[in-house]
Parts: sequence; structure tokens; C-alpha cells
Amino acid sequence: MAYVVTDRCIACRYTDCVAVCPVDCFRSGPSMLVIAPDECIDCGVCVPECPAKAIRHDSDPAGSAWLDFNARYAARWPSISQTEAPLPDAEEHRQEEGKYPRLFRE
Amino acid sequence: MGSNTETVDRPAAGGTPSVVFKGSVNKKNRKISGVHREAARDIPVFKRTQVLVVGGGPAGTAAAIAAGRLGAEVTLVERYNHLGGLSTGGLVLWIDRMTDWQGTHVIQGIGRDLLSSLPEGGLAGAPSSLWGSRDAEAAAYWGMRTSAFHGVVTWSPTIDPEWMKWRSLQLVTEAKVDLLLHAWGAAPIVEDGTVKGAIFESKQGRMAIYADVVIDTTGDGDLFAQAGAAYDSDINEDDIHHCMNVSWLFGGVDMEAWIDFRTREPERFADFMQKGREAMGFFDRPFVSWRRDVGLFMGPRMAGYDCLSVDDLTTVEIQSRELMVRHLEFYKAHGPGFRDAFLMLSGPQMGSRHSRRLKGVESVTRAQWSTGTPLPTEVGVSPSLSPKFPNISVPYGCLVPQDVDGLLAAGKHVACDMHSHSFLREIPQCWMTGHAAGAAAALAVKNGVQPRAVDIPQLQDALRAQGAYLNGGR
Repeated sequence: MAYVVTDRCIACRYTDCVAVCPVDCFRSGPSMLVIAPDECIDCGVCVPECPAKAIRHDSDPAGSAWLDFNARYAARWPSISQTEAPLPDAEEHRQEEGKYPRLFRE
Repeated sequence: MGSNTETVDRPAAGGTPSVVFKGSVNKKNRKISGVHREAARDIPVFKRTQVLVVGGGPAGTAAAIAAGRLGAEVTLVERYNHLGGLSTGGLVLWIDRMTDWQGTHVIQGIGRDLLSSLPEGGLAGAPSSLWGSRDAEAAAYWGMRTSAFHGVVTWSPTIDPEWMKWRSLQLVTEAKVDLLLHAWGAAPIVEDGTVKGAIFESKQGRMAIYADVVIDTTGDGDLFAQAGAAYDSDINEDDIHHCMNVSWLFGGVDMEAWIDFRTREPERFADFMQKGREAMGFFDRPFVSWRRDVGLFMGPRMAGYDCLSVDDLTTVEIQSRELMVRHLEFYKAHGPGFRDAFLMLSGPQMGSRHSRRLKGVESVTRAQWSTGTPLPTEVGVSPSLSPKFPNISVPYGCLVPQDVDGLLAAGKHVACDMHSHSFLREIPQCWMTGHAAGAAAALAVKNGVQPRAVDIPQLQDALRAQGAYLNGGR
């Protein structure tokens, strides 16, 4: 069981979540973060930290769709354990829907 | 696993197709069938007491002990057959951090007394010489044993629930608390906006207890909600607090073999986890317990359910156990260290994170995290979520309802925002707020005042005298 980052993070990447994660299980890609599901301990403290409401639990249908995606990119992207500046147009994209086809970058 | 002489062909335990678990929210669409008018009736007054504590989880146990030690006449009502709540019956054996990021033991008092009372072999955790250590090797070792976070070793031991139950009973008895087990605190008795006691249900039927001060430690604000106190509820799909689960223990395992597998064979571990997710959708992994041969599964968290709904509670109980049995089969077949695993125990109590939070005269909020400023009404100090933030000063007012007298709240339903609830809900913090509520209730009785009028310096002195850690300690 794990929390996962959904497409709402894409083009925002606020990274507020990273500061509170007790086990440093976030990974940082060019356009978004993911959670390494095998390392997440299910505490959920990251969830209310996200300004884009991008983090969901994998038992939640809105989260489970992103579980394999998180596992896949967690194996490729580097670990992140310090909060960084958001992406430049984060505010503009914060409430957008359907960002994956247009804005995701590997 | 012994010889099998049975000739009857039957599926392996857990090998039958799922009948109840659909991998998504499975709520019953029950319609209420009408209204029944219950006749008004007289019920016995079971007793009169000074302090009535409703709910014997971590907060209620600490509250009863604190008030009893201060000389108050205390009655503690608990619905299960044990004390300790989620820390024992809920199998939340992994006690969260009692130390801050510098290694200072900030959650002390009754919580520390309870942990210290456990015998050798009754708990496992990092030695005090390592608390606050950033030594990479020590942090890696204790990180695999749920005792190091952000690269810092902490005091967050794993406990034997049976010893915690027994020690809790002993400490409560020594504090001369009148304990009622198998008794469900059903409703507050309210007169003119003041709580005057509570009604409880048991095998003996429905009876009243009159009290000078009532402490709601039900965890869900069962009493304060019915007493008309204002509360917050963030049950929605964006909230972290909506998941529920039954934890379980597998016995006959070798957790050191499991940890070796995790740390030395990361690729095989990733493959194992992937296969587990594919096999059953909701896939959980074990944490260490207080013993090498017992593995702790916090249990698949079920989202989208309400822990105040009896239908949802029932559904999650059934689904959790189905998943437990399926996990046993998978781990026995594929999990290093789990070949001889057996079902040791499923949590006697459902795990839930949150339902209601009191609206208090004060509140712990996200805006406070960065300040590190001790509040004038401080009754406890909580470690923060990460080294980025200083310690959190917890004010008395987060236990005090805005508009109802005769009542205090302690435990996971204290006044805070949902960000701060993510640590205030944990066992150490429940001990801390329970301790504060118990001491405050005893002082309110002694001085003949309402809980909201308790003298803060006197309360802080009483807490310090009982071993609590407060900023500016003497």
C-alpha cells in the first residue's frame, strides 16, 4: 500500500510534500514528482501539504490508476529530500485537468 | 509443515476467489426503514464520580492515571476488554516518535511511564545513546526497524501489546481509578450547556454516571458531538484521514531474513512487490515488531469509508481479513523469512485515523509549525514532522470546547487543522493530550471551577511534577 502522485503534479512540482516525508520516498522527474511505492509507509502526512492536491492513496480509484506509473518512474528518477522552487508556471497549471498528454515529460 | 494425510481435495487457505473484495469502494446502499419511538424511561445512576473518562485508549488511560495520581476520584469506562486502544487492540505497536530531531525526549509524563513499565523483551527500539544520532550506519539500521527518519535515529519503539495492556491495568489500578471494562459510553448527560456525566451501556443495560468533569477520549468525539460542541470533519476524498484498516500479526516469521532480503536484494524486492500488487491489488508489506519472529502488517488502508458507519466498519473488517489471508498465502510462497508464517492475530480494534476534531478555544495549526514559539498555555511539546520544523507547542485550549462546559477532549480528536492532525493523532501525542486533560480535570474538581477556568501555571506545575516535558522547564 502506498500513496501516489497523480497527474495534478505535472508542470507544478511544488515539492512541499518532500519536506515532511519521513522516509524520503519521493523521486523527482522533469515535470513532476512520483512516490516510490515500495518505500512509502502510508503515513499520509504529504497529502495535505500539496497545493495542487496531487497525492492520493492507492486504495482510492483516483490513486490506484497511477500506482504502476509511480513505481515505474521511481525506479528511474533521482531521489529528492529537500523542498525546491516550483516549476515556473506552477500557479497557472495548478488547477488544470488532463495535464498528462500535454505537459508530462520523461 | 508436517505430514498431510488428508485425502480430501480442498483449496489452499485463501485460495478461493474473492467473494467480498472488489478492489474498490464497496459501500452498502442501506436505506433507513422508518422511525421507532423509544419510550422514555428511568435508568439507574450507577455512581457519582469527580472525573469520568470515557474511552480507555492511550489518551483515556493517561488521563485516568494523571487525574487519579492527583487525588481525584476517577472512573474510566472502556468498551473493549483491555486498555491501550489502538496501541494495543489496534496493533499500532509501532509507537511514533517520542524524541525530537535533536534526540530530546519531548513526550514524557504518563506516556513515558507506560513505556518504562514494559519488561525486557516487551519492547524493541534504539538505545537512548543513539537518539538524535545522524550516523549513517545507525540511521540505516534503525530506518529498517521504523526508528530512524530523515536520517536521524529516534525513540519510536515497537511494543508487545499484551504487556502494554497489563501494565496499563496495573498503573490505572495503582492510581485508584474505578475501571469499568465491557462498558460503552453511549451519550453525555447535558444540562444547560454543561456536561454532567454520561450514560453507558453494558450487559447490565443502560445506566448513568454523574461527574463533575467528563473527559471524552473516545477518539471520534462521540460525546462532544452529542453534547453539542462544535467540531470539524474533513471526511472527503481529498483528505488523508478517510482510510480505515485492520492491522494484523503473522507469527513464525524471520524478520531479520526479510530485512536482509530488502536491503541486499533491491531488484528482487522490487520484483516481489510488483508481483504482490499484481496478485492482489492491495498489497502490504511487513514492519518489524517487538520480536524477530513476529511481523507487523499495518493492513491495507481502505479509502472512501466512514469509521462512524456501522456498515462501513463491517465491510472493512471483512475485506481486511480476506486480504490478510491472501497475504499469508502469498508471503508463505514468495516472502523470504515467511515460509512458516501463520495467522497470529488480527486487530481486535479497527484502525481509523480520523472522524471528528473538536473546535477548541485554541487549535494547533499549520501556521504555527515554523515559529517554534512556546505558547503561554502549553501543556505538551510534540516533535515536528521533519527536521525543517522546530518542535510544536501544544496549547491547553485544543482540549477545551468553545461552548460546552464540564467537558474536555483528548486524543486524536483534539482541536487542530488537518495538517497538524497528521502527527497529533499518533500514540505519543494521545498520551500527551490525555495526560494534560487528566491533570486539568483533577485541578478543576479540586478548585471547584470549570475546565476552561483552570489556572494554567498551576496546571503546568502539576504536569511537570508528573514528569511531563514543557518548554521553559525548571
